[in-house]
Parts: sequence; C-alpha cells; structure tokens
Amino acid sequence: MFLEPLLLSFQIAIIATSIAGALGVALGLLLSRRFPGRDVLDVLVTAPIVLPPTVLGYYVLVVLGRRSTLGQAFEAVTGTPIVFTRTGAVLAAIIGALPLTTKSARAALEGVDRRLVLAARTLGAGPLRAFLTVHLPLASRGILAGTMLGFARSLGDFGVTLMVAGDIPGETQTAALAIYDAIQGQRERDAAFMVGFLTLFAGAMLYIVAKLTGRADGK
Amino acid sequence: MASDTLTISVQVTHSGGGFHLDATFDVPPGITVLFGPSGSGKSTLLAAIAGLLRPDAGRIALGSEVWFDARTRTNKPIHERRVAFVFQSLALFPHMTAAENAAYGVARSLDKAERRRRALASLTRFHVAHLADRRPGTFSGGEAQRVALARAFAMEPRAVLLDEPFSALDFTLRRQFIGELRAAAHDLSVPILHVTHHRNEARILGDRAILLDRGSVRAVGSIEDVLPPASRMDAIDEPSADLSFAETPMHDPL
Repeated sequence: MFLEPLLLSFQIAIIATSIAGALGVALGLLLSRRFPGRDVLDVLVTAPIVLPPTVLGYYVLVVLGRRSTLGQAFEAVTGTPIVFTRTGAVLAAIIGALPLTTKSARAALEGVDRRLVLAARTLGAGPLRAFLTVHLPLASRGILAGTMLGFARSLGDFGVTLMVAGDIPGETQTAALAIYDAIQGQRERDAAFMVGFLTLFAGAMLYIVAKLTGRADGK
Repeated sequence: MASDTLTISVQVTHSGGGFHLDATFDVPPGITVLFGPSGSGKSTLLAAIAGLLRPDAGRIALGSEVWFDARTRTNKPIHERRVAFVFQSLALFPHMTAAENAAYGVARSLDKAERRRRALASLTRFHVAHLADRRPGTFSGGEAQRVALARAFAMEPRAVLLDEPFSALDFTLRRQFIGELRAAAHDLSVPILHVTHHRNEARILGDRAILLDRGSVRAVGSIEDVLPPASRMDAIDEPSADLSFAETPMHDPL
C-alpha cells in the first residue's frame, strides 16, 4: 500500500530530473549570455518557485489539456493525452525541478573562469568542444548539486501533480499524493512510513548537495 | 607556411569610457616585443588578434589569409586562427593533467598516441616532462608557466601571443625563461608578439619592438631605437595591476 507509490515517485522523478537537468543546463547556458528578453525568460523559469501549484496546474491544463491544440496534437501522435496520465505526472515533476536545475546550472557555468573557455578556443577547439571539454566539466559539481535538488523536489511534488495528473492509484498516485490519501483513509502507518522515507531521502540529498557545493566554493 | 607575416591594423573604441585603440603594424616571424605602460591597450590588441574581441574597424591578416576585415565583414572564428595565446593568468585547465593540457591544442586528426607524444615532447622542451601526469593545482608558479608555454607550442601555432607571461616570476627565473622562449621561437619561426612592460625583459627577448601608448603606436623598430630613455622608463617599468582584456567589451565567441 505504500511501496507502489514510492516506486512510482522514483520512476517519475528519475525521468523528470533527466529532462529538467538537461534542459536546465541549456537554459542556464542561455541565461548566462546577454540577449533581448533574457529577464523575461528568467522570470518564466523562476515562476514555479513562487506561484501557487494550482495556478501552474491551471496553465498546464489550458495549454496542454485535451481540448487544447497542443494537447490534441500530442494525443493524435502518441494515442494518449498528456493530462491525467503518467506523462502529466512527469511534466508536473519537471515544472518543480526546472527552476532549481536552471539556477544552479547558470550559477555554475557563470562561475567558470571565462579565460579557460577562451584558452580552449585559442587552442583550436570549436564552441561545442570547448563547452564539452572545459566549460561543462568545470561546472559539473554545481550542475550535479542542482540536479540532486531538482530530484528531491520532483520526488515530492503534490499540487501540480494533483491538478495535472490527478490521483490515480498505480498510474499517477505518487508518494506525496498517497500520503494525503492515507491520512484521509486513517491508514496512519502507511502515511508514517512514506513520510519517514521521503524525509530521510530529502535530508540525505541536502547533505550531499551541501558537501558538493561546499567544496566547490573553495575547500 | 611558417614564414608569413602578421599584418595588423586595428581600431577599437570603448563604448563606456574614452578608451580608443588605433594601431597599425606588422609582426614578422620572430619575437616582437609589444611594449607600453598599463592601460595602453596591449591586452586589447592581443585579444583582437586572437579573435577574442571584434575590432570596430581595421584588418588583420596572416600572409594572404585574412582573419578580420571590417569592410568585407570577415571575422575568422578564434579556433580557426590557430593562434597560441599565453594568458597572464596562464589559464591552465585545472581538471586536466599537464600532458592533457599540452595535448589539447595538438591537431585532432592525429591519433591519441601521437597527440600524447607531441605533448610530452613539448613538455620536455620546457623541462616539465616530470609533471606530465599531475594536475596544475600542485604546480609552482614557474612550473605552471612552463606547462603553459609547452601547451602553446605543442599546438604548432601559426602565431603566438604572450600576455606578460613572466609577470609572476622573479628576475632570475624570468631570465632563464627568456632564454628558453627564444630557443623555442627560433625553431618555430612564426610571428610572436610578446607583451611586457619590463624594459629588461624587452631588451633580452626581442628582435623588434613596438611602443604602444594610450592606444597608439608611438614607435616601431629595433629594441634600442624604440625603448624610451631610462629616465622616462622608470615610471613605466613597474609592476602594474592585472589589466586583463576581460574588462574590455568582448565579442562573445560561444
């Protein structure tokens, strides 16, 4: 009664964090450069931290719901809708993780001495090779820390998941939702187990992140 | 290929302050010392030649190959110029060993063993082969200096730019380095532009000198002709703040 939601949470969080991690590096790199509209993009990426989950969920339903153009296009191609499916749950988890992965990636990429990247360029490396062999490896610690935060965050999403994916046992009922159900159904032992597990896991993540960023700051 | 002359005509206007660089000169194969006080535009000039910043006007060419021409809107990307740039900060890659650093610029068309062989040969030439498998974090100032030079020469550059590479070294060590650099430059036979504001360094090192002051070329010729008299020099020949080109507006290469 509590293993299934936990396993589902991890499945969803792993997929969501992979996507949010890669997207975060791309957005972080983009935001570390000057271009028109940078501040607007920054606000858009950061918004999920401060907006109520219901507001975010509302936007997702409007933009990707079954009656929206995008939602219908997705359904026509894949045969399943986005909302109230596991895809929706992954999407909700991505929305929660993305601000964390993007902000960390941006800070980490900006923290790399530009001269090192330029040195790589003068040594004959094109922009992509310089990024992959010098810029990215030197920022990897901060990016990893942000990705772990994003993972912890997406593991525990409640509001957006409920709005966008619903609370379908075995399909979209993640641990955070199952805890709510367990409390409602007075299955307090199930709730306590999942609460304990998520708490320990988040604590371990934060501890590792602190270790990673602490050393990156200068030993 | 090795005997092309670098012809430079560069104008840069600082959008923020009143800084203006307007310099035209040639760098034939061999060492040319670019001499001038802090803030005279030396680092900006080097950055323009390497392609790290885009001049507002002018033309830069190596022999018949045009690297930059404002009129035809030519601007060859940094990595295609193959100009070795030894930064004042050295910019060694901290996550790579000395051998990996030195191999970074070696032609990618060669196989891995050959790239490493060339990297080691260059490290050997600058007497740091014993550091090959160590990372820069543990190097002394002189060792880091040697690895940076080894990395620059290992890539078989078509021109070499040295931005006060010896500024962190004491006099004795600096003298030693100058000898090694001269030998390496002799073998390579490409245009080498060496920035310094140390008169003694300029005298020992250069075949030719260019005197830059407040963004303009004041003199070009032999070291003795170009260097200002000693009395005026004393004001110039002192350690300056690190005026890296990073402070100048830069054409974003990525």
